[in-house]
Amino acid sequence: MKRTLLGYVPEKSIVYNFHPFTRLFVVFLLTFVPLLILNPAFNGALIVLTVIFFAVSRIDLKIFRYYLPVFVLLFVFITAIYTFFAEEEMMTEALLSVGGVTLYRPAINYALKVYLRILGVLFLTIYFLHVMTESEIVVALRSVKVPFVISYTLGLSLRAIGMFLEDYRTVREAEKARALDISEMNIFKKAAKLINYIVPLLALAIRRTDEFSDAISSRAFSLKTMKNRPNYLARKNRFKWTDFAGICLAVLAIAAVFYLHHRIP
Amino acid sequence: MTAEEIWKVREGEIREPGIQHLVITALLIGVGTVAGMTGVSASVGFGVTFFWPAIAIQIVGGMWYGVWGGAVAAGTFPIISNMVAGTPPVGSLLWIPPNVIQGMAVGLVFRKFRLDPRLKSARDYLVFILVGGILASIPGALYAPWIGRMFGLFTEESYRVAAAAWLVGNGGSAIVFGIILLKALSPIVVKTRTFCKTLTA
Repeated sequence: MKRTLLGYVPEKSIVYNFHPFTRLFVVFLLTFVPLLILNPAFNGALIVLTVIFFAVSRIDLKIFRYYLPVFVLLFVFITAIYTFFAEEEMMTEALLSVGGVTLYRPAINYALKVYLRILGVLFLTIYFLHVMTESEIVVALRSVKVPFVISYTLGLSLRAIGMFLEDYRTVREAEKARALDISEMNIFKKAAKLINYIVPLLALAIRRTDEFSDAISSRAFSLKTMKNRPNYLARKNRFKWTDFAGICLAVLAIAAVFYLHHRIP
Repeated sequence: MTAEEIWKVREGEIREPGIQHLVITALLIGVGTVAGMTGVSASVGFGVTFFWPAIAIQIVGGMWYGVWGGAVAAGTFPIISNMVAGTPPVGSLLWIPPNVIQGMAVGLVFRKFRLDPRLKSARDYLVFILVGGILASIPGALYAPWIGRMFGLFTEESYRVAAAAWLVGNGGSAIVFGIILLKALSPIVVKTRTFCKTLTA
């Protein structure tokens, strides 16, 4: 299994037949569908397509249960907005009235469209985070000539996230040993106690800055010499015909979606 | 060390951006992302978040590390933490302006008026609360419902409620968490070589 940003993917997954840039580009391109199109048919199709991507990439679909609270929270939030703050033109056809609160059919229909749009984006982003590693993001950026200083800082940042998540767990264990366990608390108490974790994490970051910058400087890196570093990772990841095919297919598919969207009323 | 001494570049003192600023930027992005992912952020999609403790990292980042913490890190880490909450980078890019304002505003004012980042006097507290907690959150509070409305998350009727909720949630956490972080860590940070007396070094 290969560890990715948010999970594990089998080493033999079909997704690794594609260059990291292709994966980044295709997901980036597909996110424009829900961002620009509200039509539930397109967003529903995108969700189905993403689930197919998950299955083809041999990613365990059980991971969706971790996101269930997010899906529910979003549904409740959007429905509440369109129930209590519906636009006037949406308040035409009453669907249900409970305790003085009336649900209007056009408002609820619109809320469901918005919900599908957000789910489409969510599914794509979850997929992206499950098939990419930190170094693959750096490879993808460097393959399109993003300046080394930017891709290097981003790579360092992505690795820092993993490091601080580990530190966060350590701090939590230390707090637990001192009888503070926020996992049992309600959301308000959790929020209030959060500072007990942020202060040590920030203190660790400050302490590590000198260690890291000394280590980097001792390898002859400086802001001035960072411009033309050899691109070792590019030699390990080369574009293949599958990448060109994948990118062309994604561009054509998106063009078809936007064409159809304008043709279908 | 007085507040004046904290910010004043002494004669002969060379302050220029170095590798340590790049490192602190990366580490602040790491801490900020983790703080934004800790499970209490009330994200409702497309980067709209009514309670976001990571705002404190943006504020102290701008205060201690100028543009490195207040603009580069403050503008970047929400993109990553929003991604984990399901917002694509394209959607998160729209959030860079209010995030940079939140990160830079109080740092700029403290540098300009030579106020103490260790919050020693009532004036320091007052300016921090007013600028860092309230004024810096206003652009975000006005902008968030607008972005939300663009994607259908909010209706016109809910605009005011959403703006008020944003201001209270994020402004409140900026004040509470920001004060604690500054009181706890500023005395150490101002003595480090990474601390930025000017906006860049």
